[in-house]
Amino acid sequence: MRKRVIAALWALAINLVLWVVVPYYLGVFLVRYVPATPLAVPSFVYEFGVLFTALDVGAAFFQGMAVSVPFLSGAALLSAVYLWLVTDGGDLHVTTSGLSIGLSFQLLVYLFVLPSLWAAARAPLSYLIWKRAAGGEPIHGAGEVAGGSPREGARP
Amino acid sequence: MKPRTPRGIWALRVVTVTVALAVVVVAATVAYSAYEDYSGFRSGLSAGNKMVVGNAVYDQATGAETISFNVTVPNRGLYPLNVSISCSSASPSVQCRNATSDILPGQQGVLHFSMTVADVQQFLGSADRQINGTVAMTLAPFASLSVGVNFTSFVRLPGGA
Repeated sequence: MRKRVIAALWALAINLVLWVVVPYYLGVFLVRYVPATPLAVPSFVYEFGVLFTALDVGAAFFQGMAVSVPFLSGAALLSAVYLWLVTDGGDLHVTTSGLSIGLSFQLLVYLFVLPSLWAAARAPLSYLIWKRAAGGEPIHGAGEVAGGSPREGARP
Repeated sequence: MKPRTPRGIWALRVVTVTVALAVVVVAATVAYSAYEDYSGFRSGLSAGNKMVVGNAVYDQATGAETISFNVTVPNRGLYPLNVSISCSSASPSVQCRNATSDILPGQQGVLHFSMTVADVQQFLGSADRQINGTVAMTLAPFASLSVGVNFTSFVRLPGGA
């Protein structure tokens, strides 16, 4: 139990830094040093940050248990959606001082989204494979499900 | 005793590693190509190099002006590069001859772009005196960059009017 709480707190700390501290200071930096820039940190970053942190903390807390599967898949799907939204689906346009610049990279975005989608599919698949290997009995710990190294004694 | 890892889990690991490798390889090669192509443009545009050669010919008899560019683009990257220069205008007196070139890696392409303004004096006095130019570069098939530039300032009467 103590290990789970520590893992969850660790996940919380990392996610807070990634989703709140970094975007906040990036926004401050842009406003202060590049005031004329058309680039800005989108507000939905924080909303995604809250959701992603909740899912990641849940996944860390329930690591190795069946209940961690929806948390893991949810976090992976959310990161795919986030990447899609933050890049505008790979179609960015900026107009500044009479100059319009368009950057299109849809195929790259599809490619970058692929690992997240695969991770979302992999979590339940791993759980099912471990469950089947255990002879259909419910398993309370499959390290692969949580994406980490299997813990001894957790599997049947 | 450590339980044996099922075959299915190994298969999932193989797929995970394959997907990660594919993403890393594509990202690295695209980034490398973009950097090399950018370096090629930068060195081409620096002083002394004649990557862009422009010419403007004014016909006093008709009042028409033809502005042309010959652009030599090197492709130092790993992917084919498509470069195009085009323009458009609401004014009927402006005619654009757009240029496009597919350049294979390690080669260089030459683009011949020209635009003709039938009556410069009339064009400069008209309300729709605007020529929108677009320079587009595609790192096939992954990414493309287009820059919209105002070409109107290229049109001038002899004497700088």
